[in-house]
Amino acid sequence: MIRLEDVCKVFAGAQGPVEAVKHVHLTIERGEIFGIIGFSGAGKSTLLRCINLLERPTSGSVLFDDVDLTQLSSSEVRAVRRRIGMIFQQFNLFSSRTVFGNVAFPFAGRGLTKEAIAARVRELLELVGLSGREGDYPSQLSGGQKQRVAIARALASEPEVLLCDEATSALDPQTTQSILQLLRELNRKLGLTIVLITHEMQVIKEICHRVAVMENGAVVEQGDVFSVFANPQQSVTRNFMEMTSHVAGFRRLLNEKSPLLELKPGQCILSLRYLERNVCSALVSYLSRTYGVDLNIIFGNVEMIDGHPLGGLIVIAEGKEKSIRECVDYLETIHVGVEVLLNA
Amino acid sequence: MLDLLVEYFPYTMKSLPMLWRSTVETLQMTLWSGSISFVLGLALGVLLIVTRRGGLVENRLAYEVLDKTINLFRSIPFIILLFCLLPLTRLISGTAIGVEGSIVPLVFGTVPFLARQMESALSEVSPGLVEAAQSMGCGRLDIICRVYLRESIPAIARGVTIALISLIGLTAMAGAVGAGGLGNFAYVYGQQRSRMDIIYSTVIVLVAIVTVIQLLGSLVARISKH
Ligand SMILES: Nc1ncnc2c1ncn2[C@@H]1O[C@H](COP(=O)(O)OP(=O)(O)OP(=O)(O)O)[C@@H](O)[C@H]1O
Ligand SMILES: [Mg+2]
Repeated sequence: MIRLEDVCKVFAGAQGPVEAVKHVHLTIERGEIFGIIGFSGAGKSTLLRCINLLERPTSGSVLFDDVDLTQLSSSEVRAVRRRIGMIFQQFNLFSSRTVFGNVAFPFAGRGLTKEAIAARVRELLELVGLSGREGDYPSQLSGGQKQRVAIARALASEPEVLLCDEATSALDPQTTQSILQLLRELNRKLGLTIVLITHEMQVIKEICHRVAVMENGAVVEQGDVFSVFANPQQSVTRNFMEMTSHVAGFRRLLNEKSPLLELKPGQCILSLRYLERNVCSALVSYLSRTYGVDLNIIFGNVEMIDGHPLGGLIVIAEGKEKSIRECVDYLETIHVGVEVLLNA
Repeated sequence: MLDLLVEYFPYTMKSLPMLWRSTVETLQMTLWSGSISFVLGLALGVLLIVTRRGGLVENRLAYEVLDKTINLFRSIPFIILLFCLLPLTRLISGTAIGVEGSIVPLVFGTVPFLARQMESALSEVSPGLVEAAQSMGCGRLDIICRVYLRESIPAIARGVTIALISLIGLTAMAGAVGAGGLGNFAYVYGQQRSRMDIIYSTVIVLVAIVTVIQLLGSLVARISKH
């Protein structure tokens, strides 16, 4: 539905040109939730804004239903923008207008009667769970409610795609959850295609089907969420993984030679990473029964993505050296990544 | 009460009709030149905002020319501007005295100041709002009217209030050199004849006018701000 081909964006910065987006190729399918993750300054916003031409790419093309938007006249671009909604981190509601006025904003000059507009606005507010707040001004709403109004406004022209620029970054974790829930519902109910950018791993894990990882203006990795995070190929991706797990904290203890990690003879510390979708969670008890190795879990970070466990465990294994080796071999045959972190 | 007034404002009480007429003239001058200046000043403010770097219709040359012209006019003291504009005033108004003759110089004196006020009012509109409107498919004119102007009504009201008050100051100055109004009244009937009470009474009337403008301005700013 959306295809970016070799998109580059160069800004004229104070200290010479800044390449904000470099040779990006992306395809976004109709009906999916596509995430773009990257650290601050990676070029995510710029890339997203290239999709509706708020930012004109320096080179490359942006295809929307096989029409190259960069070749359209400005009035044609405006028509296409009505098919692409957008929401922002700072909500960007019109503070001089009520909730009703904000949601009705895109209807002006479309030849609709007052009654038709009022009915549509009510419908949209119901969709985002804000019925009855028509008369409030944005200053009277919480962050989550503001974002709901912004979503209703973005959906007013019945777009096929919704672009979300850090839509939950200004919200607390609970409100973030409820907005993500709403986006997922809209995706299911209306078949709305969603492109969202974020620097929060949690957001990607929560609702995205596919993900692209950006670093220094380039997309360094993309694919379905499980594969990308189960087998991160790039160090940025691994950084994102570790940030949301406790593994980083554990590695720090290890580096500091913490007394917490003193081992008795016959013990060693293993890290187990689930790489494929087929791992069952009864792994630990299976290993102790079969190989006579005691596994003591000291760190665990296993999450369900697409119904499969993703993440890993750090365990202290205790047993005969031979049994531990057999154990490791077995794990490798079932595609669990094993690493011996410390051996007594 | 009346006795008290007659005692402290003897000459004023004798020329009350004149004071009334002068007040009306001052209000006329303020209203006419204020309205014309508002339209021109707002238009220039909008032009500055849209042509500036990163604006809707970015245009370095237009911005620089406007910016420098406004600075030029702002740096000319009003009394000198009055003299400079005499030929132009006669050409446009047919006369250089009275209320009619004062409009052209008052507009020239107010527009540059008002344009700056409007520029700063409009620049308070967050770029995010403009972007949101663009993402909804709005054109430039739409964005100017429905985002820039609409969103900055409170700030515009504040700017207009300040400009109107300074305009009243200008009308008094124009009055002293032939435009009529309270400035003329205070100068000709008060200062030149050493009747201080006439000068004091014009001050009282001017303070009253300024207070009313200030109150109205604050009211508009308050009810339009949410
Ligand atoms: N209008 C601009 N002019 C010049 N440089 C810009 C402009 N917009 C963005 N940049 C630069 O482009 C790079 C990418 O910026 P961008 O806003 O796309 O990053 P981001 O990934 O969205 O970051 P964040 O998570 O902080 O929002 C940055 O180095 C930024 O300084
Ligand atoms: Mg950004």
